[in-house]
Amino acid sequence: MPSESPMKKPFFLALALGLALLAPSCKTKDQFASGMDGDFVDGVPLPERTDGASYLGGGVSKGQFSPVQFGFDSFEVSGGEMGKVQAVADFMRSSKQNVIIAGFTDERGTEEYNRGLGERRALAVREKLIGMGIGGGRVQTVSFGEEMPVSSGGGEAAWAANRRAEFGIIR
Amino acid sequence: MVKAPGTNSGAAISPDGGKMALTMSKDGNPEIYITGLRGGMARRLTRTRGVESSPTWSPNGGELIYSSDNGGSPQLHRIGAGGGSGSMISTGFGYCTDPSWSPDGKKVAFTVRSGGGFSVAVMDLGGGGARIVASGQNPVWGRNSRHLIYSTGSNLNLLDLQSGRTTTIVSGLGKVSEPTWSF
Repeated sequence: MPSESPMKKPFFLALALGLALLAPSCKTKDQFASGMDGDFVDGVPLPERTDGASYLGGGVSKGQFSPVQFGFDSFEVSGGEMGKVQAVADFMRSSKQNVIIAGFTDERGTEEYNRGLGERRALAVREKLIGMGIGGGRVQTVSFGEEMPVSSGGGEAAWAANRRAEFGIIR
Repeated sequence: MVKAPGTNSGAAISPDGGKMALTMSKDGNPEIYITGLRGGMARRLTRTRGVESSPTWSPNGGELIYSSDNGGSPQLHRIGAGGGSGSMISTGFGYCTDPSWSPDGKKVAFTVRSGGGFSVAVMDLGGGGARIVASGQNPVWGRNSRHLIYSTGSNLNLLDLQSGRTTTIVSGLGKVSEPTWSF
């Protein structure tokens, strides 16, 4: 059984003292942090939104990866779409850049429900990335619901194109 | 008032003006939370794999009705403001969203989807089925629990449930939706 080196004790004492001194300020900051409820639906709460991570802002590069498409009123990432998620995972493994996923719906729903459905789609893709080994703290989400369709025409082809999750690379 | 990652939407202020119910996704799923109007911790009410949205308060602030698609398509559910497990409200419709609890506490109005369009339905919470009262969506009650405002594309309409009379109150402004009524 390995024994602790006597040389390490002063270091650990200093570390413990430092953490104790830091504790009050951390508590104040964390009052507004995500995940403070202590129980998470999926085990991985969303990271705080960083400056410049607005999906529509200039700090996010869009269009580098193909959007993940969804079935009607569904947030399931189908097997046929997993290659798109894998491509983003491969990129993130070779890069330090983080990602924001934007979820969208077609127009065949009420607006507030569609905001939730779009967010659920973005979160479903995030879960897949986490399952591929990407840290949850590197993936943020946002929903635009039925706003900003890529196809403004009616009909199934347009609706299918609009049911999507897009990837934005945070510069 | 709220600073959290993800999407925060559908806020409804409690009747006493002290709290706010809304949908937040900060913990990994769109769920219903209650928070104080001066910030602080948000307390989660629901916990599912589906989408919870559009909370509406009972007049006494003791309960909420919201929409959840955890069972497949969105349905209305009722839950105590202090927590617990939500119970589904059987409306007879397959797609129910945007609930609005009447100020007298007796009814809920909501949007249903049928036949490719949206309709406004009203249900007596004391018993009895839901009935369609208009074509449109986003119903909200007036203070007298007799009138509803709802949207139809580019119009906002006022419906008198007692007489059945509908009056267009806003038009010509492009798409209009999700109205609310000041008391």
